Amino acid sequence: MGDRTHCTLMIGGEITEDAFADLVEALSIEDPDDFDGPTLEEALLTANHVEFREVNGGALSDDLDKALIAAGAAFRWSWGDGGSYGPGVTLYDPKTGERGDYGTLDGEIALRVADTENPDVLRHANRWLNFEREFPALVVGNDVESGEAAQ
Amino acid sequence: MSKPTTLNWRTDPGHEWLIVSRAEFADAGLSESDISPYSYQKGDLLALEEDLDAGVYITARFSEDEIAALRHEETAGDNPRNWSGFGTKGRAA
Repeated sequence: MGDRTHCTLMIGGEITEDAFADLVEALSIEDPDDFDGPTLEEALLTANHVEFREVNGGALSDDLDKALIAAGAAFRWSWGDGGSYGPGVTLYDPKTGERGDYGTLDGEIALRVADTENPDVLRHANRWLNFEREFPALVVGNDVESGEAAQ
Repeated sequence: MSKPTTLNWRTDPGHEWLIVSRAEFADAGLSESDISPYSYQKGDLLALEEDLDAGVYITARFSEDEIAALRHEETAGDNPRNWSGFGTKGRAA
């Protein structure tokens, strides 16, 4: 069993009511420890994030990862210091199907200075920094355009 | 143990700039001739363009094993493109 740590899942983007229902079901199975609302559905719609207190390795489960992508949701999965591993974040943009994985420092995307010598690495990190800054609000409805990336 | 540092960026739809003070720039041992004309200055601040100049500053100022957090500064209508030019590297004398 790996070191456990606290994790936060933030969900956004425009998704259909059916996709939202499927996502809530998938999330219920993962059984988040904390959310701001009387139900998981309301918590997602009002606070757009849920908390997991102890997650092995700080890893997003494969099932939840697949459910988020299938729903066409934007998401930000972040984890704390696990002792044998540092804090970090995974970001997913449904408009492009891209994923960004970074270590974090005080909750912010961080790079080794050595890595910043590559302009592409800096540009990529700044792309995700902007994605975080402009993280889309969660909108659920049947008149929304699916955020799922074209494959 | 790596020492944390923070890199502050400003963005417009086309580009990113690393914002540093003139004092930080001087502490890195750099001069205007080390920086391309695609960077800008305003008062005490320099906006170093992302593709080349930011890396010049970062590698001059910090050791390679340091960890840098990226932070976004709101442009709030103060786009570095509207600042005065800074940097003479590659410019014909």
